[in-house]
Amino acid sequence: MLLSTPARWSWLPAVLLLTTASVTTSCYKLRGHYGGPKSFEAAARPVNAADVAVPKGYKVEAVAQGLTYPTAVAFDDKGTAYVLEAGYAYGEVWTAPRLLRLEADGSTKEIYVGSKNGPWNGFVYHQGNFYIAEGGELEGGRILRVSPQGQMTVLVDKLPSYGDHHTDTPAIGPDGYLYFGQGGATNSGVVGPDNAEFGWLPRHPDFHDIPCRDIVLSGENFISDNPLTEAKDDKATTGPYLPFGMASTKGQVIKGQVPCTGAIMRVPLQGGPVELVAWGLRNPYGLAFAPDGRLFTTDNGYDTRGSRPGYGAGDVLWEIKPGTWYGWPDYSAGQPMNTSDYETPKRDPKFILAQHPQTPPKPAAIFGVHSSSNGFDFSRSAAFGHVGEAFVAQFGDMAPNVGRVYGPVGYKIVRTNVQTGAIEDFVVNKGRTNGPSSEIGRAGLERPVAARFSPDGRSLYVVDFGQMPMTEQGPSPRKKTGVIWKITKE
Amino acid sequence: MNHLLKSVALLAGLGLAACSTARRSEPLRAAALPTSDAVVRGHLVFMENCQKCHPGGEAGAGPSLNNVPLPGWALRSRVRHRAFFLGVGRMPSFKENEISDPQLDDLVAYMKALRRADPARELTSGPVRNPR
Repeated sequence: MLLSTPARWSWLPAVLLLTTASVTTSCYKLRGHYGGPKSFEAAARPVNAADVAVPKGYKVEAVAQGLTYPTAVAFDDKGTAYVLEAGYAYGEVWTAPRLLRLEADGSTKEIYVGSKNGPWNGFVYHQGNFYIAEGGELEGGRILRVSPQGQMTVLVDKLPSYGDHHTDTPAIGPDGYLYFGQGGATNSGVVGPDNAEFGWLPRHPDFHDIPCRDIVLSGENFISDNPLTEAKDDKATTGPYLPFGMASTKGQVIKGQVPCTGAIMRVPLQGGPVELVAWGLRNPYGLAFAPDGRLFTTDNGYDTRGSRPGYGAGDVLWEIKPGTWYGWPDYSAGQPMNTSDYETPKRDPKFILAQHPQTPPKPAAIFGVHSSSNGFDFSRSAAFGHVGEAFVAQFGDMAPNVGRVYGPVGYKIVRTNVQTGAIEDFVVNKGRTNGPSSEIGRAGLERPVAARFSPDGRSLYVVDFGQMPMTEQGPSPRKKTGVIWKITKE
Repeated sequence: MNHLLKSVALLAGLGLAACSTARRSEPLRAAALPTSDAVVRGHLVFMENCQKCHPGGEAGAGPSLNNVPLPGWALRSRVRHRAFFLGVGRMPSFKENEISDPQLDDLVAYMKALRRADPARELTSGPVRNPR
């Protein structure tokens, strides 16, 4: 038909050419690397609040600059702000983790310096002490109690934190316990070459995910390159919840233990045994109690990487209920992963558990795929508005290493209605497209990683980790580019 | 063939529209969205099913939506049929038990309202990317 009526279809080649050209060269181009070559050196970061958009009636200002990998802000009982510097960042860079007091003029005073065991991912102040979640990439995760005078005691140690994700943000519950998240070792339960790229597999070749309760494996195994040997074309077969290179068998039971990975746990403030709260999570980074006392966590969704990639998995806000299993490593946001919705060129992620502890609950909200939705806090004051909504910091994607995206995802603060699941931008860079300032030619946000309201509820403090472009050599976190932003209602 | 023609034409329109800004979120738009019942309901349908790949209708794991002038029938068809754009892309289809027909009507009302919301030009201009 096409060939028999050439005049009628003469426009088709032009349209096809135009379509092809626009799709391949226009704004639909998939996101690639930028910012190379990889470097950790301090960078000159322009900071200008005029490049940041907030809703009408609010104002934004930068209150501290030049921080190295800041990850959290907290306030003492006088309302003085303190900041954490992580001491470790993806890309494998180590600095001194520090607890800093933020002075009124934007300078900082060192309160306590930790050891080479970051990343420090979050902290709270409670009844005269700081409680810090030490990520524990080298020596295992710890919960540290630090006095305002800088005396430190270890509340919890030997947490399973040597992997992709670490010991995460703590929160003090109304029951007087300290609650904290523990991230998983891997993307989806199977150790593979992607974990060597993170840097930890050669350091801890026996490390793997640890279930909190007994699980039964389906017998799925995964063949991958072996990054632990020099031999070319060397392959390894690995099963879930097992060390790299160890295959599983159908019906194999993996004994549960606590502490475990991918879980919310708690410990008495005076110290004591770690107790399990909830499990089946991937990386429960942010943790906060809502004004009504309910506990919520942000959970980073699966990446398209490694031996068992998944596609299209959004980050999630969960309401945490004791004893609940939330679906990792076989469900995403409450949906089973063994469908074409999550398939990759490696085919559907098949179930790796023979039985599931329960059907996972429905999330409170689903954030953008690869948005890295992390630290958050609830508004409690009418003076700020949106009381009861969660203000979530989105670190931003690490594409293309974690999967493909058509445009930058995250790099902003969103407010989230935990009753309806509705998500709205609240603090975001100006410009024709979204993205980190260093990529879109602005002087606003880079990578927001945490958000917390001041004790009076009138101001939202946003912790901006700083510049971290994804270069062809991997993440490139630049020292002394961290910023603290403050948003208030006018 | 008719389906092929429509798809090609839509792909061409989609490509041509791609570089206009898709930003419509609260801090960046010139005026509030309409508050009709359908738009309010459609907002929640969008959040549950679309937001994760098209956050706020902008690009993410999927392409941007707010700057794509698709008519309502095309939006409905794409939501229901994975192969709508000649099989291009990997967005899943949504069956009636996932998004009912009334919900789909609400979703389309919301997507159109979001598309028609004017972005504040002084806040949404500049280069697409300008890495330092």
